[in-house]
Amino acid sequence: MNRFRRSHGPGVGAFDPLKYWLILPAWLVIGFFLLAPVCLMFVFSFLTKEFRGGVIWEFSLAAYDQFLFDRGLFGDEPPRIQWTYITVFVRSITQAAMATLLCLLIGFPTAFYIATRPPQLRAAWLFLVTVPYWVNLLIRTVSMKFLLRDTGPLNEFLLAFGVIGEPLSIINTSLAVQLGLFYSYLPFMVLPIYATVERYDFTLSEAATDLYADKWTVLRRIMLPVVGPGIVAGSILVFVPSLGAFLAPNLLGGAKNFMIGSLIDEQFNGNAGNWPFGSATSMILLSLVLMALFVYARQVARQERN
Amino acid sequence: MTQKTGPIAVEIRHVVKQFGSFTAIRDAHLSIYDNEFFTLLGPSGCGKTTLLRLIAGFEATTEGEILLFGKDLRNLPPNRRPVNTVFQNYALFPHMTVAENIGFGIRMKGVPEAKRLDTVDRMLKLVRLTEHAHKRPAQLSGGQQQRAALVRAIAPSPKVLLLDEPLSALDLKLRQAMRVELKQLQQETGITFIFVTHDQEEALAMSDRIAVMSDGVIQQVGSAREIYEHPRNRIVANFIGETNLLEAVVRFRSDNSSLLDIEEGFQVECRDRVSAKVGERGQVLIRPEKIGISAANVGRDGLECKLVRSIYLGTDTQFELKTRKGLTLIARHQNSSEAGEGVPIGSTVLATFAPDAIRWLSDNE
Repeated sequence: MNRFRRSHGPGVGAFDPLKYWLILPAWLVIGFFLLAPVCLMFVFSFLTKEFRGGVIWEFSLAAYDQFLFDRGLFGDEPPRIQWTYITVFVRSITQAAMATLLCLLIGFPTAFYIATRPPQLRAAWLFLVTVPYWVNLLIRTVSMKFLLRDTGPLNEFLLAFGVIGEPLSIINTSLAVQLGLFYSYLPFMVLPIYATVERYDFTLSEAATDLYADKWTVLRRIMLPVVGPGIVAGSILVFVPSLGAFLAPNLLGGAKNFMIGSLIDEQFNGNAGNWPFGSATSMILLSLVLMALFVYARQVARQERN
Repeated sequence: MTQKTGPIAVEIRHVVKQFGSFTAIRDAHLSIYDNEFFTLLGPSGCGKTTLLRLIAGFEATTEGEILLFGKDLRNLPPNRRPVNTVFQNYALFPHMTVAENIGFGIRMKGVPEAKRLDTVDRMLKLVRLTEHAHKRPAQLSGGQQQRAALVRAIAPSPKVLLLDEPLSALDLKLRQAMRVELKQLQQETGITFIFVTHDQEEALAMSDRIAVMSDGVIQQVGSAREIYEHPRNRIVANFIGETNLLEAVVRFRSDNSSLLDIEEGFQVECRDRVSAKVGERGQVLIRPEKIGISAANVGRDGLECKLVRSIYLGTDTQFELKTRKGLTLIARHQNSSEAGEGVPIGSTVLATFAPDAIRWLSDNE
């Protein structure tokens, strides 16, 4: 143990100015692109709104109040719980969860398949998985709209083969949003799972089979636990951006499938033009995600200890 | 020669295994007896691991059949065969504790918990891992992992235990200790062991019988002594131990004693049954430890050679001799014996051969 600690670097405690200069770019990037915007949002969320965008530098809790309470059109009624935004949050979480589930159901077998091909073929398959990402997300989401619409290729295909009698109206439903999110973030599921499956030692599966486990048990008790970290990483990478997405719900979901992302987008780009409220909603979303990750991390740590 | 007989545990009949156009096993026949420590020995790529995987059920035979106590294993998936495997890299489940690993097989067999824990305890004790029961495999040393993998495969009391080079990842000292332990375990449990290795020393030390494989062919099956002393062909002779392989011409032949020319004008006696006729050629084998070295002036009947090189090997010294006509012979003697000691390099010596030193290869091609 001692030896390990010592190997951390020459002269623990010795001041080495070069070390600090080398780490500076990293700190600049993190500070400028990550901490500063979040701090800005945090500050904005406690300011007073200026109509049609912008803020007045005056402390106010109005944005958070607006999120939670309904005080009537003129703000003079006794406060009631405001369900509108909570509903949007719940819907967003459900949609993001469904998208994650879809990505997992398709992404795991895909990643498994790719990881078990000969090495030369793996590179080609991975390339194919990432090809759609060379196209802008907006274009991809719009193209999804064309695929799914009532007279689109999907419906025409199903009609032509007599699978359905009349076109399915998928567009403007929550399913359309889920499909859009699924399509947007699938590679984020495939790639981390691929990385773990590729490292998975298939003799473990053989050993389990040899010890009388059937195929299903091998998958459930050996393979899934061992590649679990990849699945969790993929799920987080899909779930978090899905939660804040606005292109898919805006373009594919119609008015009824409003999600947090759309709500925030409205406050900055749209008609609502309420920057403090947009910032407050962002902060609430951020805290929810961080809390979820924290709870998860603690649980993992506890499992590790046992 | 102590040869086990009795019920046949594994019978391999006409087994052929092809991977695409590559033939890994050609027409193998083998009977492995119950309670036997049987070794498949051969260089890497000889098909020994494939044969093991066929018995385990990880691969399907292209032709032929494998019987386990008389029962055809065909169509029986690995999880329904009463055989267990110890893998070369151990394949311990990294997310389970040692105890959970050991209990996995009997758990899958549906053994009730109380009995299961009992068995796991017994297994842990058997290989002295009790205090490591709740560690993860990654926290164990190589030897401990090895022992955990071993009892994990033994816990479900398989009828046959398959071991795929289980000692190859250990260092020499540990490997030697594990040899003894493995052999002991086999005798205590009475389970038939089929052990795959490319290490001839390992094979000779542990096995009741050995099958030497090469190029997908089982070259010879026999006890360690039989294989070492009476290799059937040059492949076996070359693979097991050091050898001098010499061309010989038959000069006189009878059933229990023949005279062979191993070099023009030098004849040795051979007591094996010689398959070639008088005047024909064939191959003989002489083990290095059976070549005596004495000073040239002793006047004994020997082959005059020049001592080219001697290599000190700790317990032994190896001598390289060259005859007048350029034939190279390797001799090897324990350093406690006096043979060859103090003979200067370049001097002339006599190489002598006891009658039982000359082995006629029965498969003379």
